[in-house]
Amino acid sequence: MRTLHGWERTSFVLLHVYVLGVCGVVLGAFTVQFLGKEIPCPLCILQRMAMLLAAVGPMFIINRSSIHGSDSKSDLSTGFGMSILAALVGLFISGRQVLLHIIPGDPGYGGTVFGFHLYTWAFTVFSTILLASGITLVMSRYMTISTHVGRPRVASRLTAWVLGLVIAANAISVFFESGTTWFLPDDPTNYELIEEFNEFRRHRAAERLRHVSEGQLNLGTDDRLGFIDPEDSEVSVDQPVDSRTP
Amino acid sequence: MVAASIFILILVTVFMLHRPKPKMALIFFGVSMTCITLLFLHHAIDDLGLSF
Repeated sequence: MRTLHGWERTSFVLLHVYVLGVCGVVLGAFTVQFLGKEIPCPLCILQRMAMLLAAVGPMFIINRSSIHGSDSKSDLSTGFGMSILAALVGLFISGRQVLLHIIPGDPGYGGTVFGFHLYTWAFTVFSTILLASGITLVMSRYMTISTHVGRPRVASRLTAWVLGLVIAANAISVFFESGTTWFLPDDPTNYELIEEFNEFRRHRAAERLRHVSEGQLNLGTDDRLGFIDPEDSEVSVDQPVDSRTP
Repeated sequence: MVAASIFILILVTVFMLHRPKPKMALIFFGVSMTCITLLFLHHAIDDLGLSF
């Protein structure tokens, strides 16, 4: 494995900082979500997606240069091109949400961090990504990224893992938020999956109570899930079926 | 579920980066970005009934 020197090393380290920085921003949004108990709206989720997709670009360059050792210049262009495209989409989404709440007197969506709402911060992050990617592409003739072939460094593998875990955590969080419905609610107030599970349990308990009242269920053998306590049930199983009220 | 699927698509894109040929990673990147754009259109623009 070749040792990196000078600017080459700095560029390589900066790519890792780029990916980890984006992951840090998304983890910050997670902190607001769970510690601040603020459920993200669909536009917030879309901004997270665009942000993580923008981080795939530098991850592409890191992987190509450290594992496959291909031509670094074309990979540099491809990677930062990916970042620019994703950041452009993110800029549109966050810009749309900023404009949605820009009217004076509008309290905005959710709380603020250092005086700005999260979507305003997202707009700043996407602008920074665009600026950084543009400058890097302009300066690319003076840049060389590592072109060795071999096992990726520990830092590169760690960065890939962090990015993967942040994406997976977002997928799980969003699944809890949307439940089994196709799309997220416009103004979410709770985690739909938990609500649906609770609703399912209530429905099952009501169904079983109804079966008991109709005399179709033997409480001793059929109540395997333990939803029904025979002592709490309003209907006695010893009572004749005809005399039970539905 | 659509949003969760897009996150999984991005995760697959990251996995594809480890392949020797970059083609699949680029395809998955393009599909992910298209899905994000379409979901954005669904949530932000469709309901407004704007005409361009």
